[in-house]
Order: sequence, then structure tokens, then C-alpha cells
Amino acid sequence: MREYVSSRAATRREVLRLGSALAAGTLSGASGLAFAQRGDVIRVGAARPMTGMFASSFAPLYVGMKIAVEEINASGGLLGRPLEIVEADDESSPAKEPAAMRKLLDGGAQAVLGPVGSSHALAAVATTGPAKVIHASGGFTEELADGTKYPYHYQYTYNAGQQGDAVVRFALETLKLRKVGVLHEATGFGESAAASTVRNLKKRGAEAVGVEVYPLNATDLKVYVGKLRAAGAEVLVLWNSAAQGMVLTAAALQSMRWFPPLLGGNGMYSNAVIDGADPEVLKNAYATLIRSMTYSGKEQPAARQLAYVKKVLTYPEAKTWEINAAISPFYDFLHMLKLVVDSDKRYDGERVKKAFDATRNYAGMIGNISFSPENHCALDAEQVVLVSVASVRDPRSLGVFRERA
Amino acid sequence: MDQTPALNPTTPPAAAHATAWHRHAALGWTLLLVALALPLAAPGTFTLFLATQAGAMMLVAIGLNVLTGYAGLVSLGHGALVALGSYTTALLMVDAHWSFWSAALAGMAVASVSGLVMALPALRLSSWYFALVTLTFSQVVTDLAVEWRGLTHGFSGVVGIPPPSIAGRPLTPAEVYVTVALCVVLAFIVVRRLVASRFGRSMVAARDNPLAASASGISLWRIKLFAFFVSALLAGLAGAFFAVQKTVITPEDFGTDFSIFFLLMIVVGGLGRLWGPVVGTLIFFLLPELLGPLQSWRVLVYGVALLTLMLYAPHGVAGMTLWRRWRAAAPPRDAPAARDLDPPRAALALHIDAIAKQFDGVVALECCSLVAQPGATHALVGPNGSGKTTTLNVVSGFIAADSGRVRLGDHDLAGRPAHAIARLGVGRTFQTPKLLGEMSVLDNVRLGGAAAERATALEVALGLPRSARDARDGTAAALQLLRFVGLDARADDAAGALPHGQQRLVEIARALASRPSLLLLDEPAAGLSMDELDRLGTLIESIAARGTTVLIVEHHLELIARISRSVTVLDRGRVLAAGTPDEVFRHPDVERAYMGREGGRPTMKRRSS
Amino acid sequence: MVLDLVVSGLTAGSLYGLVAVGFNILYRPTKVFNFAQGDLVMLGAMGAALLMARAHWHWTFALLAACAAVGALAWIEERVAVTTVLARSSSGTAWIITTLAVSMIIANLVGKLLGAEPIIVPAPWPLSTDALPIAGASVSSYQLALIALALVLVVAIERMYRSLWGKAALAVAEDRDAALLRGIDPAAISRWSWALGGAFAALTGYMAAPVLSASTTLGGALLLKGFAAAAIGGLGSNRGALIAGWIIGLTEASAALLLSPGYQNAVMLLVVLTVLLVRPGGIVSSLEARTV
Repeated sequence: MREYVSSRAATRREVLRLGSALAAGTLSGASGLAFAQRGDVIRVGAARPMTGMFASSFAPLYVGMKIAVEEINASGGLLGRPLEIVEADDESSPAKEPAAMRKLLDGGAQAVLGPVGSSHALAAVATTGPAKVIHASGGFTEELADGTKYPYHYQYTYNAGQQGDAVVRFALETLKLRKVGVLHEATGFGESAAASTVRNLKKRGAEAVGVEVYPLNATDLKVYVGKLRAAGAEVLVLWNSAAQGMVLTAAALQSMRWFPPLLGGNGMYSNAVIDGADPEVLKNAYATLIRSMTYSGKEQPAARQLAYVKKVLTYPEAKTWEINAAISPFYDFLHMLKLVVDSDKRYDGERVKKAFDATRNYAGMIGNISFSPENHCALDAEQVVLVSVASVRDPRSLGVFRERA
Repeated sequence: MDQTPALNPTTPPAAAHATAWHRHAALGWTLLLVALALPLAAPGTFTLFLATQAGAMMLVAIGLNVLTGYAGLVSLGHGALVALGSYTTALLMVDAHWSFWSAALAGMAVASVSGLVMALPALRLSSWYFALVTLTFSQVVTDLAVEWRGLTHGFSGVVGIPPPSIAGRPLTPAEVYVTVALCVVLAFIVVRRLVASRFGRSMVAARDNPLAASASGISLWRIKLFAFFVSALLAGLAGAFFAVQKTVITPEDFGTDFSIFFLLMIVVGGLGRLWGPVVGTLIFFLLPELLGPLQSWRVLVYGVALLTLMLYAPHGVAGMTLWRRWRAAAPPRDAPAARDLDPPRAALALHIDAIAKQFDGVVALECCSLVAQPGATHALVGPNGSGKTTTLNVVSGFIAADSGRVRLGDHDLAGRPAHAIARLGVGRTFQTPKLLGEMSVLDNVRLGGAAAERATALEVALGLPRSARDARDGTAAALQLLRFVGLDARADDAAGALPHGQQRLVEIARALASRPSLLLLDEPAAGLSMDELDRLGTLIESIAARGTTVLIVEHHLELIARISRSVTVLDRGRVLAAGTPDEVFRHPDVERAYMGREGGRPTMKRRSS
Repeated sequence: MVLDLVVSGLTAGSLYGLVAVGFNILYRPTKVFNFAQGDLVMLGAMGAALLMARAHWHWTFALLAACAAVGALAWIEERVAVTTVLARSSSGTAWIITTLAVSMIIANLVGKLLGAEPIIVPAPWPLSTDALPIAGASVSSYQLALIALALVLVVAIERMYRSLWGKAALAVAEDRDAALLRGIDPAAISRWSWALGGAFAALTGYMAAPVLSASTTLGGALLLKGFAAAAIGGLGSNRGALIAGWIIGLTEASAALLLSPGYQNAVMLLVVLTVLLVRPGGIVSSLEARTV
């Protein structure tokens, strides 16, 4: 497996490619969003939960934003002016997103990042879309990658569709097990990830032996896990976003003394489980992760990512969810924005969109980023790999990286 | 109870007062228009968006205030009704391409039907159980919004909801705001009219004193359903606006917090006050914006602020006593034309045949029979525990007898609910006066006449002539009754401020408001001074003289002797003696049972307790 | 499989019942529903979990400390948020706001300080959450102990209400003024009831932690069902609360087996409605007698 080490030379190449895309592309006349604000500060709006129970859980994702802002301003800012972040509290509630978005736009934001959460992102895009504002959210749902539906939104993370694909590939090709049981939480994410899993199984000629849905406030998952076991599942796939799902699943497996391979997504990285769960469960637990944040038996994590992660770990709010901080979608978004704006010598939303849409193999921190007018997902299925959850205990991981399975 | 100062004796002449009122009204309207227009002048889109959202939420709050504030039914499920209105509107607009206006009407219809369904358990459950049921109901609605994904698009929700349009032209956000503001103003006016009418009085009575309500002929379940209906209608409309504003609605928009939020708004604003929901909504929408830099500690500041607010304004902001100074003095009334007490609608005799009632082994009534003729007073006396009040309760329908018959004229009363019996022409008073303490004396009496008013809710809401006529006639009739009992000078005072004896008279006036054929009085003389006793006696005699059948339960034998034509003595549930006062009081059994066993000669006049 | 279901249902149900008992203890002398009850339970669980996980206290001391702390907090809540508003107007609904405000404050503070990350709490030795060696079933010793303990606690609480202090509390619940006339101090009774209720909530949280893991979302999960158990069981009746909790737990477990999550709350609603419409005062008839 090749390392995606990005040398200075490669970066320069990327800049040139973007710049030529801008120059050579058929750019229509200036849209209403041509902010030739030479004297002004460039503002990017950030929607995040500042109050409510999830405030500190989502804070790590914004560490990536902070680091990017620091780096950008240290190297001259955007158009020679400092980059400023305008924040709005969305209280982690989809119902509050339209108001938060409007507040940001009224506050002078020319691009928006956040919120985190699929339903939150969908609610927010409903406002930024018509306003034609460049938007990078932290939503995992496949819909958000649709460039025709959401032309101004860019997904700087893998989505549920790719996760389903990765998990199925792993089960069928690596583990060589065909009887897959799916357990998902009753949320938009859980549903779409489960649907993707089932879809991908079918595509490869296999079938899910059972799909169980659990409510968010469930107190015990033994019933559901038991049903999947009774249906003959050899592999258990868990799609959860709230850590509680992982905790209860581990508890159920322990209690039933059943230790099938457990596959899933980011919800499996809860440190609480690593510390408290039965090692038998964790031995076989694998989750999806972006390739750039992984290492293997022989290969180290890439130097660039290593440096980045070390920086991330210096931020106190990244505590307990360092991995989320490291894979934050906002770092690369801001850097790409700077690249485009600086080479364009102005901020023009339409031109940014054109440039983004023409991006191919930009060496981002999260991996090789490519967009097209129809596909606004930064990563492709190849960059989604399964890693061993328990490898966080390995000193090489620094608490962030994981070993590829 | 709070003491309201009596009406200022030097009220200005009617004409000058009217001009002053008009000036105030003009000022009020101008201020209102300015306040409403402010968001339109603000720069950017955020303020207008927020104001429109606040307006929609205000609609819900106004409706919920009718239900929880006035009718006293705590609903934690209004979020579900908003959700139903939203989803109906959204789905009809997106999937079936209806226009906003018809979709919104459909949303209101769906919400009100569901509101009625949600209301049915309320009719049998007491308030906190009901809160639980509504809370669970709201979760069920959210769950089903996910489960029935074929219809509702599941978690992805309904996207791309277009803005409302008139004749093909979509409305701008400013125009949407104006529409919402208009709806809020209209809703406020309609609710104000309803509250001032018999509907409002009935709701408050059902909330504060259900016995008084039933005794006045108000069907508790009907008024509760009505309150539900109104609040659900407004919630549905708000849901429609919510949908077009957000342009995307998902099941997660309507969680439990959403429902509790509305309750918070109206309690902070002031439950059961007209301006409560308006103030409450404004506080909740404006406060976060004013906090600015303290954003991330906002909820903490909130919590502390709420705690402090409730200490100083336990009845909410609109319920604070300092507003009383601003309350418009009641308009001066012309003295009612001197008119004698109206005769009852029909002169009917009461026949009680052998009723029996047992409570868990205690025999309250064994075989009680009596006859009371119209135009006369019949007394029911007996030692404590002899079944007198039970008899009254059976006749008025608050208790069902185990056996026996009760007839009023040709009507068989047995088995009918209390409010139906009241409507047949039975009025009653209770041992302790059951008045609505915070309502004026006049309104308390008008409560009794609720059954006679004819205007329907729609007519009241639209302010049509029949409702104005009801108001006029009702007020005149009530004033007349107050004059009859001698309390017309205190018509506008809070009923709770009156001394005990006067409260009793107000209750009698209320009982007479429906011109009943039968008047039941339960120990009206208790606690009255000698003077008041005398006047009470005269009062009862005049009532009987008009043709009403009066059945009075009393301990005051002198009063009885003076005013009654016939007396029945009960002892331990059975009739001991019956006849004229003279006959009965000399009856040896009566003397023995009621007045002490020493040789049948009363050793001491019994004082009433 | 059936045994699993029954035990799971009874375990969850016992927790709901205990939350309901907490409600009852606070409700009796003050007629106030503590909207912050779920947060008190959560504090108990989090407090004990932190002491055990970070400070490595033995579970008995952690539990005692948590109960004392939450009891004290409930005592403060009563003085600040309840008595003061009740004194202003006994028939008011201001306490809805103040208890909600307290809930907001607690949830927010804890959320800010600790985040939503759960803490796994092991069952106290010698109990464990591993399945017992019973053929075909995965029932743990902790689950059985929890159910038994819930029963014992309810019996103890009922015993307590038969003591002199308990009777005084009942008297205050029945008629505050009459109790006052008999020399009982309703204010002191209220305060101590709330402190007791708080400690009880903490105990409930601690008991729930090995099963549910201690996290800031613990309160929300239990609050609603606890409220339902209190209402169905008959407000004020503790044995009713436990029985109702079991009914809810078992219904939930069977619904999980047979229905998709979308219908589970609907089933809950049906159960609640059926019980309340058949017996309006709750299973064991409540303090809320109907007055005629």
C-alpha cells in the first residue's frame, strides 16, 4: 500500500493544477457573490453546538478548524488579510440550523463550515444552498455528496455509503464470512449506513441474515443481538453514532459470551469501551477509518499526519475524542479555500465552486481529495479501510492512529 | 385571596370615559403596529427569520394558553400537534402540489382531529396523568413519522418545501412575516373574545371549581374538548408556517424538548392571562440574542434567570401584581331598570320516592321520600350524618342513588349527569360557597346563566351581533340578580374578596341566573349574623313567592319555621317525620332524636354549627 | 430466550420503578413533580463512576459519597426552587419552571464539564454482568441482584412510612395545615423528604450504571419511563410504582423482540392508557382521590 506522503513538490503541482483549472475553465460572468473585499477580513462561519449536552462531544471536530486558521493566518491569511471565524450556536438541534445559518450569513460569513451531524447538516444546507454559499459540513449521509442536489456543499469525509461498502468488502473478502447481521440505531445515519450495508451485500451476491433497529434510549441490546445470533450471524455490523450503542453492544456480547467479529463506523471508537470492555470483544472489533490516519505492521503513519496529530493533541478540547479531532473535515476545507482564493486574488463563491469541482487528487490531511460537479464527496471508497479498534493501546497510535486490519 | 380595591366611587362620566378609552385604544394600536413593523426594518435576513419563527411559536403559545392556562389541562404534547400540522402541510405541498393556503387548512384540520383524539383520555384522567399521556403521545407521533416512511420520507424528512404563493407569485420573506403577524393578531383577538364570553368563564370554572361548573349546567367534557380543539387548531396553523419557513422538516425537529418549551413559554409569560403567551414567547426569543458574548453559558444563565423570575413573578410576567394599576377600570354601568326577579321558566314540583344510597357499607340514605311544591319552601332537617346533603347530591346529580326515583315535574332525574340536571332547571348552592375567587362577582353570577346564552363559538369568535346581545342581556340579568340579593355595588369586585355572608348571596344569585324551577340550598344560614339571617329569610320567601320550588337543608329551626311550608326530618337516612313546621317540631320522635332526649323539652336552643 | 427477556424486562423495570419511588418521595409532602429527577439520578451515577474510575475509591465509599452529595443537592433544590415559589402562591405552577430550570442547569454544567462520553462501571464484587452458567440463558448475577434489591428497597421505604417520621410525612401530604396544628413541621418534613429522595435517586443511578453505563444521557433515558411508572402505579404508592415499573419494563422487552422501534412507544402509550382508564387512580389507588 502506498503511503500518501505529500512532499512540497506535490503540493506545488496541486496548486498549479487548480490555478489552471480556474484560468482555463469557462467562468461565467461575476455572480452576485463576487466579494471583492480587498480591505476586508474574510469571514468563514462556523455552526457548532456551544450549549447542550453535546457541546463538549463535538468540540474536538473544531480543533481541525482552529489549527487550519492558525496555519493560514501564520502564512499571510487570505488575500493578505486574516481569516476570521464567525460562530453561531446551533444547540445541536436540527430545528435551530436555519436560524444559525442566517445569523452567520448576516454576520458576513462568505463560506460556512459545520454543523456536525447528518440531520443537522441537511437542515443547514437547506439555507446555504439557495444562498449559494460554499459549505462544508460534518454530515455522513450519502445525500450530502450529491453535487446536483447540493451544488455548494462539499463533504470532506467519507459517507455512510462508502462505510457500508468497506465493511462488506472486509467481511466477504478478508474475513471470508458471508452471514452478516446488521444492528443499527434508529437515526438517519444508522438507517442509511444499514441500507448501504444491505445494498452492498446484495451487490456481491450475499444477504444480511437480519437487520435490527434499536431506539436511542434503549437500556439493553441483548434482545437485538440475541435475535441476530439466532438468525445465524457470523459477523455483526454495528452502525451507531452515540457511544452508548457501542457500550451496550459490548455489554450484550460479553454477557452472552458471543464474540463474533464486530464491524462498524466511527461510533466504535469510544475510549470508555476500550478501557472497560472485555478484551474478547475488542480483539475482533474493526471500524472504518480514513487510510491516511492508519498504519500497518511494517509502515509508520505518514510524517505529515504525524506532525498534524501531535499538534491536535496539544488542544485540551480534543481530549477523549482525539481521533475525531484528527479526521476533522474542516482542516482541508479551509486550506483548499485559501489555495483557491489566493490564486484567484479574490473571493468569488462561483469561482470557488468551479475550482473545487475541478479538484483532482489534492493531497489533503484526510487523504487524496477529488471532487466533480456531480460528486462532492472528498474521498473515494478505496480510502476507507477497516482498522482494529483495540490498536489504540499501541503506543504507535498516539491515541489517534489505528492499525489497519 | 388578593384584595382588589373597590371601584373608585368618583368614576368619570360615561362620555369622557369613552373618549379616554378610545385614545388609549388608538395609542395601543399604533404601538402595536410599530412593534410589528420593527423586524421589517432590520438589516439582513436573520431578524426577519427569527421574528417569523417567533410569530409561529406565539400562535402555539396562545393556543396552549387557552388549554393549559384557562382550561387548566397541562398538555406536554403540543409539539406533536405542531408536527402534524407541519407534516400535513409539507407533504401536501411537496408531494401533491397543493397551494400553501389549502395545505395549511388541511394541516389545521388534521391537527385538530388529533387534538380531539389526544383529548379523550383527558376527560377521565386527572391533570398529571394527562400530562404523561400527552407526552407519550408526542413521542409516538415522532416515532410514527419515522416508521411510516413511505408516507413521511422517514429520517430524510420532507425537503424542498416551497414558500407560500399567491396567484403563482411566491411570497417574499417579508410578506410571509406579515402573514404570520396578521394571523397572530387575529388569533389574539379571537381568543380574547372567547375568553370574555361564556366559553372563557366555563373553562375557568371547569379548571378552578368543577362542582360549581356542573351545577351551573356546564358540561365539563364538552368545554374541555372545545379548549383542545381551539389549541390544536392554532398549533396546526403554526406547524404550517414552521414548515414553509424551515423548508426541510424531519422527525427530529419535534422532540420532547420542543413540547416542554411551549409550556415553559406560557408559564413564564403567565398562565391564564391574555398577554401571557405573547410576553413569554418574546422573552424566549429575545433573551438569547441579548446575551451575546455569554453564548456558551447561555443555558446556565437562562436557568438562573428563570429561577429568579419565578421568585418574583410566580404567576408569570403577565401575572405580576404591578400590572393591576394599568388594568382598565370597568366601564360605568347604567343602573338596571328596576325589575322584579324573573319567575322560573316553569313551575315544577319535586318528587323524591324512596331513594337509597350506601357508601361502602355506610348507609347514608335508607328510604327517603319527600314532595316539594312549587311556590313554596320545603325544608330538610336532621342531625349531622342523617343524609341531608346526600339527598341534595342525589337530586342535583352529583351522586347516583342505588335505588328510588327523583322527578322534577315530568322529568325523571335519576341517572342523569349533574350538568344535564342543572339544565333541566335545577340550581343549587353548596355548604361552603363555591365561587371562582379571582373572577368578578358579576362574572360569577353570569356563570350561572351560561346555559341560557345562545351564541355559538364561531359567532363569539367573529364578534357577530348575537354574541354582543348575549353579553348585554347576560350582564343585565346578572346585575338584576345582584340587585335582588343586594350586592350590585360590588359587581366588579373579585368574588374572593367578599366576606363569607356575601359570598353566599352571590352563590344564590348564580343559582338563580338560569331561572331554575328547583332551587336547592345547602345550609345557607351557616355563619350568618342575625341581621343577615333575617335578610336571607326574606330573600328565600321572595324566591319561593315567584313560583320556584325551594328545597332547603338547614339547622336553624327558627328560620325554617318562618319560611317553610313543609318540613321533612331525616334521621340516619330515614324519614323521621314530615309535615308543617309546627307539626314536625312537636313530634316526640323528632324531639328525642334532634333536640336531646331529656323529656322532649328543649333544654337549649341548638346553635347551628 | 424467554428467561432472558423476562429478566431484562424486570431489570429495566426495577430501575424505572426506583425512579418512580424517588418521584413519590419528593411528591408526597410538596405535591411537586421534580422535573430534575432524571438529572439527580444521572448525577448519582456519574459521581459514583468518577470516584471509582478516577479516584479509585471503593464502591461503597463512592456510593455513600454520591448519595450524600445528591441528597444535599436535592435539599438545596427544595429550598431554592420549590419552597420559595410555593410560599409565594400555593396553587401556582411556577415550580414547573423552577424544577425545569434546575434540570437545565445541572444538565448543562455536567455536559460542559464531562461531555457525553460514557463511563463503564463494573458491577460491585462479587456480582458481575457476565452470564450465569444457566443453559441457554444469558442472565447475569447483577441483574438478579438488582431486581431483588429494588424489591427490598421498596419494602424498606414502605416500612419507613410506617415509622413516626413517615407518618408525619403522610400527614403533611394529606393536610398541611392540620399537620401543622399537630406540631409537625411541614417545612422540615419537605426538606428532609427531598434530601432522602435525592439520595435515593443517587442510589438508583449507581444501581443503573453497571447496566446502562454512566453518562449524561442516563437521566433522560430513565425519566420518562420513571414518570410513567409513578403515574400508572398510582401517585404516592411505592409498591404500585415498582409493579408499574415491571409492567413497563416487560412490555418494553417484548416490544423490542416483536416490533420495530417505531411502535414501541405506541405500545407504551396503549399500556398507560389502558391502565389509567380502567383504574384512574393507578394500579394501587393513589393519593389523588376524586372529590365530589
